Amino acid sequence: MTAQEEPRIGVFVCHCGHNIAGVVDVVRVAEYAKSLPHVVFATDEMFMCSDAGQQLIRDKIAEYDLNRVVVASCSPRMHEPTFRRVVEEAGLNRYLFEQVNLREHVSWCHMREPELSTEKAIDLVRMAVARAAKLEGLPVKSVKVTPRTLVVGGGITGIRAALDIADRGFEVVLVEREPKLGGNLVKWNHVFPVDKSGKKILGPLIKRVKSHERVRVFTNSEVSDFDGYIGNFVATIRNNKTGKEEQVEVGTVIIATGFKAYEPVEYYAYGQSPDIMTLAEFHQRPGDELLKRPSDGRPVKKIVCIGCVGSREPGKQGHEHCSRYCCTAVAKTAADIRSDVEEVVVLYQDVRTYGKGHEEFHRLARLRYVMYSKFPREEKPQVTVADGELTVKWHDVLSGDDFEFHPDIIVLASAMVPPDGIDDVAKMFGLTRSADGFFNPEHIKLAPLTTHTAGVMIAGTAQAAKNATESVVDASGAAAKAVGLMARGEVEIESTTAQVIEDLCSSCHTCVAACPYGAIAMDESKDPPVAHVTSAKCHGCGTCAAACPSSAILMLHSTDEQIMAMVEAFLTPAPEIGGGEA
Amino acid sequence: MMAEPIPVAMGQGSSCWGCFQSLVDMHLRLADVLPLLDIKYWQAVVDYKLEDLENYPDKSIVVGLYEGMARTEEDVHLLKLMRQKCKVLVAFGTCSCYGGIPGLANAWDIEECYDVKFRENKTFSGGKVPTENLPPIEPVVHPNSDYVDFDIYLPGCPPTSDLIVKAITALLEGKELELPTYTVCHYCPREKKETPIPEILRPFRGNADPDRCLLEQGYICLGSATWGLCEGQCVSKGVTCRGCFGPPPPITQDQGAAAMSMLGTYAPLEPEKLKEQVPDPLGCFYRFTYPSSRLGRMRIRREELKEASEE
Repeated sequence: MTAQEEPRIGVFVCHCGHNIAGVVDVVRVAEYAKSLPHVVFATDEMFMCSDAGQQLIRDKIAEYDLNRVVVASCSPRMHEPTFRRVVEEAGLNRYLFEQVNLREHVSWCHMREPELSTEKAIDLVRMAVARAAKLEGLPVKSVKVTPRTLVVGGGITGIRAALDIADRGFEVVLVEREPKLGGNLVKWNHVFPVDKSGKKILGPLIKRVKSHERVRVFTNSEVSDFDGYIGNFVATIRNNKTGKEEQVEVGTVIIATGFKAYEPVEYYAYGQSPDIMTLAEFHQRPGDELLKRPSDGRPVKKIVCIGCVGSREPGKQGHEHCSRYCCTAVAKTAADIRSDVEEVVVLYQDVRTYGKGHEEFHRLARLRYVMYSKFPREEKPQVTVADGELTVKWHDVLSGDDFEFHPDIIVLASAMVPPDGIDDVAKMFGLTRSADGFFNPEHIKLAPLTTHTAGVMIAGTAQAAKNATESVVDASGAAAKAVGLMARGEVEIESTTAQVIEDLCSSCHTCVAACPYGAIAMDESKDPPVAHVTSAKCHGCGTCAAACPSSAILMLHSTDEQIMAMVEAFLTPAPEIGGGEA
Repeated sequence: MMAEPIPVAMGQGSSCWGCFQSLVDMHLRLADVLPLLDIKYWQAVVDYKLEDLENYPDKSIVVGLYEGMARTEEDVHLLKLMRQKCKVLVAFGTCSCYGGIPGLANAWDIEECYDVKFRENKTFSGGKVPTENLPPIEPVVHPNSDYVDFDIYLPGCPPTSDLIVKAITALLEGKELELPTYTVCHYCPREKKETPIPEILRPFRGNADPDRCLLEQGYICLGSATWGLCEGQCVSKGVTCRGCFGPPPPITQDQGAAAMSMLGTYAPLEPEKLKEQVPDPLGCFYRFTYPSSRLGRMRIRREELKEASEE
C-alpha cells in the first residue's frame, strides 16, 4: 500500500464558472495551496469536471508523479464519483482522492462575503491537504446481485414498478397489506387527467400483474423481517390472515407504500354529520349513490368543496406541505358533477392546478359555472350542523363580502399523509423521513428514488404527496434503477467501512447499540467474543468508531488520524504566502 | 538463591499516598519482594533526604516509581530528578499518569483555588495564602508526562496490589511488562441487552438488577471507557466503574470524551434532561483524567495564555 511513500499532493481549485470564482479568490487559494506541506503542484481551472479539467488531472499525475489528488470544487455528492474515476484512470487508487466543497459550503452560502469566503476556502484546502497526506488506498470490493426485486405496496406505483421489472425479464415479489391490489386509486370513481374510474385504469394492470409468470403476488401480507445488504437481501413475508411466513431472497427493493387520505380532526365539523365527507370518501361512494345525501338519501342539489384541509398549515407538524393533487381533483370532480346538481361552490385558499392538463380542468369547471370563492388563510370558513342542516359561512377575499350557504353535502379535500405503520417500514428498511412524514430519497435532485440504504428504492407517494401520473413515472424510474443493478449482476460496494481491531475490543456492546444499520454483532465464536462488522451492511457512517470508548474500531477513510490531522490543520495558523516552507 | 538487591527509588509528588499504601498492601508478599529491593529513596519510609537523591550518579537507580502529580515547584523538581537518576521510571498511579482527581483543580484558576483552600470557605474566612516554608505552587497542573518521559504507565486509584506485584516482579526480573489492553467490560460478568436508557439514575436511586449491565439500567458506568487492569473489581461487586484506571491503551485517548460519546449511544435523551440528570459532567467523566484530556489541555493552554498576557 501507499502508507510509507512520501505524499506528493496535487491541488486543483475549480472556478465552477462564476459559481465559486465569483465569490472566492480561487487564484489566491491555489497559490496558497502551493505553500502547504507535501503539495508539489497546485493550480486553478475553469471547470474541473469538464473533459479538459479531467485531462488536466491525469496529465499532472503523470507529470509530477502525484500520489494524492485534492480537488476543491463542488459537493462530493456531485462529482466525487467523477474524480475518483479520473484518478483511477491515471493509476491511483480512488481512495487517494480528496474533495473540498468550495461551492455549497463556501461560495453559495457566503455570497456577500468574498474576503471571508476566501479565508474559509483556504482553511478548508489546508485541512484537506493535511488529510490527503494521511489517506491510504483501499481495495475496491464488489458483491453479486440476486436477480429478483421485492416491491412493497400493491397500489398503482407498486404494480407499475412490478410490471416494468418483470417485463424486462427479472423476477418480482409484490407484497400488499390489503386483501386486494390497487391501493387508493382503485377505489376512486374519477381519476384525472383521464376520464376514467380507478377500477377501469387499474383493472387490466392488476390482471396482468397477477398472471405474469415472473411476478409472485402476496396479498393480505406484510414484510415482517428484512435483513442483508445490497444485492443480497432476505425478506420474510407474513400472511396476516393465515399467519404463515415465507422467506424470499431479493437483490433490490422498491418501497411503494403510498399514502393515506387524512381523516380531519377538528376541521369543518367533520364527524358531526354523515353529509360532511372527505374527497376520498366522496369518491369511494358507489356510483349510483354518489349524488344522494348520505343522511337521508335525498338527491344532492348543492355542494360545497373546501380545499387545503390539513395541508399548507405552517407550524403544524406533518401538515405543512401542499398535497399537490387536491386542487385538480376538486376541479375535475366539480366539473364532472356540475350538470347533475344546481350549485357547486369551491372554497379555496389558493388554486394550484400546476400539472400538464390540470389547468384545463380548472378552466372547464369555471366554464361550467362552478363557483370559486377564495377565503383568507387566517380566517377559514365556519361550518355548523343544526337539525341535520349544514351551514357554511365565510369571507370572500376578492369581493370583500361575507357569505352564508346551505349545501346538501360538504366535501373536504383532505391532505395526503403517510399511511399507518410507516414508522415500522422506515425502521425495517433503514429509511429516513422528512418533516412531512414521507420517506427521503438519497438526494432530492442528485439521487432521486434511491435511498441511503443501497439497493432500496422509493417510488410514488411513499416519497411525498403527488398525483397518480407522477407516481407511475416514479415507479418506472425506480424499476429502471432496480433493473440497472440486477442487469449488471454485480455492484461495487464502498470500502469505507468500519473495522474492529480485535485486540482492543472488550465486548462492551456500545457499537452494537450505536450502529443504525444493524451491521455490527458480537462474534461469539471468538474467545473472548469481539464485535464484528458485516462490511456489506456497513454504510461507513462512523457512528460506531466515534462511540467506541476504547478506540477499537477503525473507520477506514475517516480514521482518527485523518480527522485529527484536519483539526490540527484548521487550528494551526496559516503560514504567510511566500513565507517559505511550511 | 538470593539475588543482589536492586536499587529502587519511590518519589511522591502531591498525592494522597494511596498508591504506595496499595504497594504496602501486598501483605505477606512483601516478604518476597522487600529483600529484592535496595531502597535508595522513599520520603515517608526510609531516612534519605532529597539531597541524597540529588547526589546519586545519574541512572544509578534501576527502577523509580513516581506517585502523584506535580502541583508544587518542588514536585516538578523531584519528578525531573527521578527521571535523571532512574533507568526505568514508572508513572505510578492515576495522578501520575493523567493528573488524577487533584487535576480537577484546573477547572478553576489558581486564585479561585486559593480562595477555597486558604482565604474564604465554609469554615474559615479572612485567611492568607501561606508562603513561608512552603514550595511555590504551580499555576496549573500539567500532566507529569509534560515534564518527563515515562517508561511505564501503571494507572489506578490506586493500582491494585496484584497489579503492583506483577509489575514489580517483571521489572526486577528485567522482563517486558505485558499488560492486557481490555477495558473493564471485558471482566464484567453482567449481561448486555443493548437497550437504550430512559433516564439516568444517580447511584443511590433504585435497586440495581445484579445480573444486568449497570449502564443499561441507567447508572453511569465508565467501564467501557476504562482500562480494565482492576479486572472489574467494582462492577462485579455491584458498584459502577468511575473510570479510575483511565483510558485503555493507547492511553493518549480522551477517556471523558470517549465515555460521553458512548453514553450518547445508550441514552438518547433530550439535552436539557441529560443536563439535569448529570449535574457534574466534569467530575463524572473526567474525574481522573482532566489534565491530560483534550478539554483539559485547552484549559491549561488558556490559563498559560492568561498568565503570559498578565506578565
